[in-house]
Amino acid sequence: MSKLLLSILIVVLILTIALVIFDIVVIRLKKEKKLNYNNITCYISNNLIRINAFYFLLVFIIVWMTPLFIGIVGSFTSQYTFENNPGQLIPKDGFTFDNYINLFNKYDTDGTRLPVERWVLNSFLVSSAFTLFYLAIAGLAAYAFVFLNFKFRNILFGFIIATMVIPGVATLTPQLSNIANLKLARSLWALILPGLGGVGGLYLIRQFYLGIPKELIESARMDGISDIKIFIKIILPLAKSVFLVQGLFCFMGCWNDLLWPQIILGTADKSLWTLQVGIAYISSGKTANAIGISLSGSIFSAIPIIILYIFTQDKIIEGVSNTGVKG
Amino acid sequence: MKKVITLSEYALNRSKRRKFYKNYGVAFFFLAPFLFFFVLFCLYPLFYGIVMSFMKYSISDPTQNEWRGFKNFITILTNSNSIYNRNFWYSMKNTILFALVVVPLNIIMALVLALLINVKPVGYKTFRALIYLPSVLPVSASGVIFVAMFGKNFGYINQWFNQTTDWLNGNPLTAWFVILLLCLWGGFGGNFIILSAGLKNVDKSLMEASSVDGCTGVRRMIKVVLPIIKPQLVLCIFTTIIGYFGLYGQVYVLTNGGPNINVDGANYNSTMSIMWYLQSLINGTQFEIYGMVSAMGLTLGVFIGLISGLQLFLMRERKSGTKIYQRFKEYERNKVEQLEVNKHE
Repeated sequence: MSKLLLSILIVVLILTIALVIFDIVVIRLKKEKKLNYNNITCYISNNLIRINAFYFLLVFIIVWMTPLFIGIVGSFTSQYTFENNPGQLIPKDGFTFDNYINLFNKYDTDGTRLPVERWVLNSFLVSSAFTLFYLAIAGLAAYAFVFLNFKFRNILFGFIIATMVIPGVATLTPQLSNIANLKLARSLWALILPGLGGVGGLYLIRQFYLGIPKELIESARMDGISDIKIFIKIILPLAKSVFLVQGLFCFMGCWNDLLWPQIILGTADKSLWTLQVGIAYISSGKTANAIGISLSGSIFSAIPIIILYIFTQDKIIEGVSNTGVKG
Repeated sequence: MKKVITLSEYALNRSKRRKFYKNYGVAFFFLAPFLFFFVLFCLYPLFYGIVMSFMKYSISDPTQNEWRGFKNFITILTNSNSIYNRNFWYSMKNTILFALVVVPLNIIMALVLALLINVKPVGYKTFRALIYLPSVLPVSASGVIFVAMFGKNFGYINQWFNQTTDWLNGNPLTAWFVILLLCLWGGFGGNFIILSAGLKNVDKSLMEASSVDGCTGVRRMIKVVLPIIKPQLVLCIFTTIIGYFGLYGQVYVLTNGGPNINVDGANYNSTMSIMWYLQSLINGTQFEIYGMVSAMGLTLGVFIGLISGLQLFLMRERKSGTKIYQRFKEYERNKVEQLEVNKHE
């Protein structure tokens, strides 16, 4: 295997050196104006930087995707291979689905079956419920902060934004006993409700609303349309894209969250766990006889996110870059 | 004596009152759900936490609760015999050192890749999507993949290079190294996207003008490009620092505290980050230390608050970042005016 790696490394090195020499030659020819202009040379001399960038990005992407590739390949590698002759990207006994089948038939140390399908259901329920509730609540609140006039509006908003500075860590334990006092501990509501007071999404949605011309709302109000109707008929269709982006953020954040579910759900009742907590539990052994199942579990838990990402990556990237540009 | 009011006055008052109620009723309707959750799950825990940090607080047995004054904070800040003090500062040191190493790497990598993407080679959208892809994966998933790569007996890396290094549980340094790799792999996508969005705003004519003036390569990078994307850069640096104060999932999945080491006769979990430590206290078997934990959380919160305060302070002068750009625009405008004046003459 190391021979293969070495040969790949040498090939990459040779290609890089060749590219550098090629660059130097082209630049020198261009400077001395000896370049014989036809279609191809014209394209090369105009796009030299692009060709270089393409090459380096390609090499980088191959390195960057290696862990994911290994993860996917590993999840189809049999447990036998991991224990007896590990380190093969293409196992000798071929690829199998055993790890995925075993994932749903895994038994705990005390003999009970781990309810993986229940974890999937929990994760889906929690993430989608949180996303829907949060969008509804934050969308309404942002409407009030932009289009309604009331006293102390800006002061209230400034105060809410200022609390963003306080990190979640500082309120971890009081939040926990708060949840316990509300009799929500050990239930899925404890994963949905606390996030609904979050400020980040409200800020993003408000930023988008600020771009909607106020005259539109004013004239609708002149025509005697109530605010609720304005919200449903005018704002919602206009702000579809920001709701989509924020919804994706919410869903992914909630699906990927590990710390809070782990703390709040405890270890007593495994049927309450979310998928991430369960996968972290399965893979906590880190021994050779569980690595196949752990890999299949982790790829399995990432599939919904990857599918979502493939279909919406344009929107997600746009949303992330907007958070930066608007500060 | 009864006050006499005219009908018109009465009507005006009434309509005012109705308007007031209508206005505020609508605002209340729109705001109430958010404010309810905000107060219940953001404000109340904050004040409750401040109260808790002055108490000996037990979540299982409320009869043990008692007022302790500043004792919790004094223990955390000064008493070096206490195990809480030692572990707190040890994990704090770990976290800060780790942030110092990983943040520059993160930002530089993001910047270089953003520059490469910015020249728009063939298929740059696909590249961008693939670079960001690991950042959306759940930490527990990417962590397991790294365990499969760096495990001692079954890991791909050890097998490929014929090594028997125990990456995750042998040496603290190698354990931290794997955590760093995972943090980079799954963590810098956001910075990369933000920086490349910032680079898009750099005016092409400005770049051309600077290269005409003989300002190219590294100098142009430092003197022209960096000042323009300064707002994004500041944002990235600080959000990344704050993000690594919350370092938890990577540590939990990869090492779960990691190899034990002995410093000055005391045992430590060598890859303990501050969040991992707090979590281990909360999930632990001692239920009477919640007051101590929330005091620690508050101390950490003050740290992070100070860092965010610094960030806000630096972001305030974001106008200076575009100063060169504005000057350039002014210069261009003057040039055009000059040309027009010349024409008339």
